[in-house]
Amino acid sequence: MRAEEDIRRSLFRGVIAALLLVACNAAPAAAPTTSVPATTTSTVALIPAYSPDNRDAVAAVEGFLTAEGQGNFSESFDFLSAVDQEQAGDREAWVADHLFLLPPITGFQFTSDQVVDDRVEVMAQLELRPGLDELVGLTPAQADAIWVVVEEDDEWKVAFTESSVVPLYLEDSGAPAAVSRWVEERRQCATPTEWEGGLLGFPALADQLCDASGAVEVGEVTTLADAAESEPFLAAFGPEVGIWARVVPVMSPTPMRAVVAPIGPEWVVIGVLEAA
Amino acid sequence: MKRLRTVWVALVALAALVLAMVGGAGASSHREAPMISEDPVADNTDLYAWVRNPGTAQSTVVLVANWIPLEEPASGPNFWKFGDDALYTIHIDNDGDARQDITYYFRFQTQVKDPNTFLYNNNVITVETNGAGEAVNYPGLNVQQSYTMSEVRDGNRTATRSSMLTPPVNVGTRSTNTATPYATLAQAAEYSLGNTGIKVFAGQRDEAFPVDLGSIFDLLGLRPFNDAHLIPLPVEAGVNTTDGYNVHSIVLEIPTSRLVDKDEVIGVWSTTERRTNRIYSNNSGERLSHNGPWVQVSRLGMPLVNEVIIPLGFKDRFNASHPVNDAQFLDFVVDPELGELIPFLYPGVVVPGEPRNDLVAIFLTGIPGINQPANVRPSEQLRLNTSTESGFPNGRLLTDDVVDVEIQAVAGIFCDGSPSAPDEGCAGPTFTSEYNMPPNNALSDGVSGNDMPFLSDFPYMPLPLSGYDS
Repeated sequence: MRAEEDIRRSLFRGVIAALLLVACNAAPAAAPTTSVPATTTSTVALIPAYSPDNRDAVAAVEGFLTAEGQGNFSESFDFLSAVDQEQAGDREAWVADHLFLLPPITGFQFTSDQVVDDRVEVMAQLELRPGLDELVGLTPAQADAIWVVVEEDDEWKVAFTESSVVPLYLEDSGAPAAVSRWVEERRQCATPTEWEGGLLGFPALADQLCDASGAVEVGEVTTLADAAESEPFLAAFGPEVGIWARVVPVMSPTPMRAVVAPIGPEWVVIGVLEAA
Repeated sequence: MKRLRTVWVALVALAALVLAMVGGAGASSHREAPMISEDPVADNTDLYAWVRNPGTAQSTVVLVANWIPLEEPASGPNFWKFGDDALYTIHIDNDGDARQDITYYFRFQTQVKDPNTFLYNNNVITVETNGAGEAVNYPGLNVQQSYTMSEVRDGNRTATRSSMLTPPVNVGTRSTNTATPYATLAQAAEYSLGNTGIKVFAGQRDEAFPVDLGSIFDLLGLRPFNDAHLIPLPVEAGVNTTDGYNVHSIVLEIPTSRLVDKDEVIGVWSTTERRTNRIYSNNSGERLSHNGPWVQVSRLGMPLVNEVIIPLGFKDRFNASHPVNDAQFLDFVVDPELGELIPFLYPGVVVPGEPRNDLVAIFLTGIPGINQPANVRPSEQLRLNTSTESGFPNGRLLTDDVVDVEIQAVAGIFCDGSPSAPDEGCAGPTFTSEYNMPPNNALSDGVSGNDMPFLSDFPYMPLPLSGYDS
């Protein structure tokens, strides 16, 4: 048997990673996701949008999110329920693993709260520091969260593993326009707006757009799950890539498919595949 | 809410299944554990850590972590590379609590420029650089690997850089040594991370760990002592098994001030993580996909611990474990099997019995007054006192002959005890041990040095052997 904490640590990471994924799976991958505004806040800001019914419970979530926003994970640990503190292992493990537990929160706004049995659910919209990398995958600009709060020894605590965070992605309809702009930049041999980590798949196809002549059109959006060569994207970003990535065919003298990701307020080209 | 609870239960069951399937998981050192011996791309082979200019404002710590054991240079057309599906890490514990305080994460990607050829390179390989002399493209190279590195401190990302390139492997005279010398190609793959003072290199290097694996794992044979073995053979010079092989290295040079906190001693270990699920499919020519959270499959701090201290049935578990939980392995250090095998296979050699508190200090806590943190929690890490000169077991230099040091250490040369009463074991470590005498302090596999010269500057590891010349 492995040490109990090794097992618990793996499980905890797995559960938290799954929270986002499962929440995403709640909606069909191909369906349009919730549209988000192009602006995001850069600092933690509590903006009361309503008068909470359960002030102490909401205050516990506020304390938790404020500590998270400040990057003070040692302090956010104090707001966790006893069960969640045990699941995390201990304070040091919560801090050390944090990159994989919760995306960086830059702002939040409570929208409602309600009592459910012996606990309180606090709904909030989160502003996140958006980005895409091979370590934690995609972090959207915004997410909806339901924080479950439980009472322990006359204090309200956040039941982290029972809470949910649902990423909000851009609407698919913006993807073709982003690809069109990218194609045009490439055709002009200009520095294109694309993922800074380097194009995945077959970037040499994109290089052939430079000074290419002839008509260029982009086609309808599909999901990456439809693509046969998704393995580099899966390896780089994990299975969630099938949820947020989109594929846009490019009909040109060099036909190809552009793979795009909803990074912050824009769809951004992250890879190129051969034409289907 | 109910849905999430359902998922939680399902994940627990899944994780339990995964654990049962892998029997724990992972590995470290050269093919030292059953699972990792079948996964060389994820196999940590060696870890080095030393300090340059200790005690000065220019002090830096050099960290070298190697993967892919005994890499055949002539391994075309699909030459060795880092795994696109693995997460490579180097962890730093700077307060002795056996938890990582700083972690360096590395993720690699492979781009095939032209999928319509079988060639690794379709021309002589040259290099294009930016204004800082850093590689931005290797013309002629068809299979290019790039990577992203992130520094994470206390859960916050504090430095990151992407689109760094690994140099091509040393294919051979025509490919990698015609238009541009291989050393120049490789040097261009040295990168700096902005104003952090961090330098990084990732790519193929010569395997520089001297060891006679062929003799050691033939019933613990030491060729120079063949005539003293229970099954005697003629005395021979040692044979360096790793001569002629390469590895893949990640090398970091970091300002010491960026790593230390209140204690001058840091602990270092490297790991490899993989996603929990690997799914093969034959649909549409699809290869495979990787799902689930990262899970540790390989671990390496002190050399040879998992290789010769941890028993076979626990090796995979060790590789999946974290230093904070190393108490579970304490008995294997306090009473090492090797301590019993040496006097049996080499009759006449007196080795201390248990408890081996000398080895506990060397492998688990650091040696008091040398490289033991003030508030140490026993755990297996490569410990380095950054305020003084380095040398194994205070860190590890590329040139340290750790095989000989560890054989002699197990034979008791740092044991605070007496050969006249070996059953009393060792009270702790000492540099005036009564065991520090022949033959104990002469035991050796007869191998030291390396077949390729070390570099005097970053990245220090020797240039890799070429496929053509191997």
